[in-house]
Amino acid sequence: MTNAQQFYVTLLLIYLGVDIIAALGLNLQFGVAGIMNFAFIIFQSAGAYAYALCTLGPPGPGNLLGAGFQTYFWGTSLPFPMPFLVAIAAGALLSLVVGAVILPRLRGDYQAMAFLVVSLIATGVATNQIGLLNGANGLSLVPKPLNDQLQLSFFDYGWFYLGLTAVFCLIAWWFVHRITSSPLGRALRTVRENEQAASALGKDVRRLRMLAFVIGGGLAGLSGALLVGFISAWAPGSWTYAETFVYVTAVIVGGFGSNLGVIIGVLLVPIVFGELTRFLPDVGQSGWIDAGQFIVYGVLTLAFLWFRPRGVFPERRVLYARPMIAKSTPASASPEGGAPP
Amino acid sequence: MESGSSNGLLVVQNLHREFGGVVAVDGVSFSVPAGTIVGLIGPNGAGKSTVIGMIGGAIQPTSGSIRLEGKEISGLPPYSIARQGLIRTFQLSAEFPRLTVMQNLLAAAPDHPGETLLGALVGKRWWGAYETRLVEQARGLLERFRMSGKENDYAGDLSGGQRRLLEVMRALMAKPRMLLLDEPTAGVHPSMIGELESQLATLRDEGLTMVMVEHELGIVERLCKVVVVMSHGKVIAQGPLAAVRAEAVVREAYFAG
Repeated sequence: MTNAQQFYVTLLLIYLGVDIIAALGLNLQFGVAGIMNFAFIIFQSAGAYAYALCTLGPPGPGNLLGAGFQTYFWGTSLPFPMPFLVAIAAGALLSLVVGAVILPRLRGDYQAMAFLVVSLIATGVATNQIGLLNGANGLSLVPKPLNDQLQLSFFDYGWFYLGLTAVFCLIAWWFVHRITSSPLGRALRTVRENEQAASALGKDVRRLRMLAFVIGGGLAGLSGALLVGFISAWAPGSWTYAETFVYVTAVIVGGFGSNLGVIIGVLLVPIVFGELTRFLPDVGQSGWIDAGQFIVYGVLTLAFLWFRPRGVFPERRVLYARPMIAKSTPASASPEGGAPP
Repeated sequence: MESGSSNGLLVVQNLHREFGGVVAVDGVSFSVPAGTIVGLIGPNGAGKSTVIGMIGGAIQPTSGSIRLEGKEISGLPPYSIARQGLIRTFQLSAEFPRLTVMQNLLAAAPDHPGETLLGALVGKRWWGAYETRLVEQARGLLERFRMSGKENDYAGDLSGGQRRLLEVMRALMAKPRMLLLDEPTAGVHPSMIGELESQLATLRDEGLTMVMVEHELGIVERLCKVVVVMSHGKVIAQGPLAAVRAEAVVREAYFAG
């Protein structure tokens, strides 16, 4: 492989991993628990900024990275993997705050609108309050994790980072899969299906919704940190409200509520269709190709909602095994007898 | 008119509810003795569903008291009332359409160890045994209600009558001390109503307490020892259906016209 090809392949695969983590988070909120989080991108952004602030060092003179050309309100240098953990916490914490305001009061279309507005407000604040996160220019020269310690070539570091992304991806998959395949996942789905009936059966709907929302926010934060740790820069242009819809499209195309489905969705939507638009012949005026990406996403969403609303790989029907041998083991727990030991 | 006793599994006293100045429920009192079915009847708009909603916690009473085994439950959120064993069904079917019949039933189980975050992360070895027991229990119910063949169907694909049965089964999976049934036979095919009725009679004979809003008076007569008749938000009579029927005020409000 030529260096350029190496770079393209590693970059694409790292994006794939980042997008999978993000889409798993959004699927938990939107596909499983039914929360219309149209502000999803700001939680990814919270993780990205948190990562940047935890690696750039304190702002101001004396700090080469912070001096002169970029301003931000606070910064420090934490060793790997602390910045990633802080990023997860930042995404989760922001979710807790935004969720506490929106989730108990608004449902359905109104909830979606409220999230969209929150996303626009966040962009407005980050862009215009320059002292906060360097405004529209954003933060750059964000250090890459373990780059100084490893002393790898630019391209070898790409492969290392791909491995790091894969590890985080596996952990995220395990975490989300455990939840969605458990009775907790079933309880979250009852909230999505019929909130009133769920609470009439003893489900604490507010708590369940908040749980899915905060975990999804933490995953969004992790995805943001992984992204900025590799591309080293983050600005409001990277997280406009429209970016949320890339993930929403991936969840809808892949399969609402299905983890495997959203991985296929990410593979198809931002990776295959997103990249294919780069190879379109130049048509019309410049800027058409970028717009073309979002036109494709929009058409895909409409087409799937119309023709295949459950996606390429839908939430699968859960079947329960019939015991082959009657009364296999004398289970220590019974539904009458409370929790198992 | 006086409810007569303050000792019942459920005691409702002087319940009021206004909706923007309109009085929907006006001083309703009755009590439900353990092991019986109390029928809540009356013409449309009498306030029956509002009473059910207030007992279940979905609607907050403007004033009044609701006690379950002596414990005040009015004003508590629905999930916390449900956790005390008071389970309601809805006038319009409230199944979870994109979950299977089995999942609908399992989801109703109280205190599932796999429904906590920690339990979910530890995995099947923590909650698997409990789940296996629940599946067995659910299959028993499905057999009893002759729905075994529907175990893996999506609840949204069931007929109206089957959804009603599912809702009753789901309520039973929640291990209720008491059921609130809001028009359990509405929309059920006539051939299935008899089935549902005999199931409810069996449950009553097994000692389950119920309050039932029902328009089909034949069913009420056979199932309910006591009926509470409401009209315009007030209780206008209560007692055995046969006795209540004879009262002029009831005939005027309900049976006439």
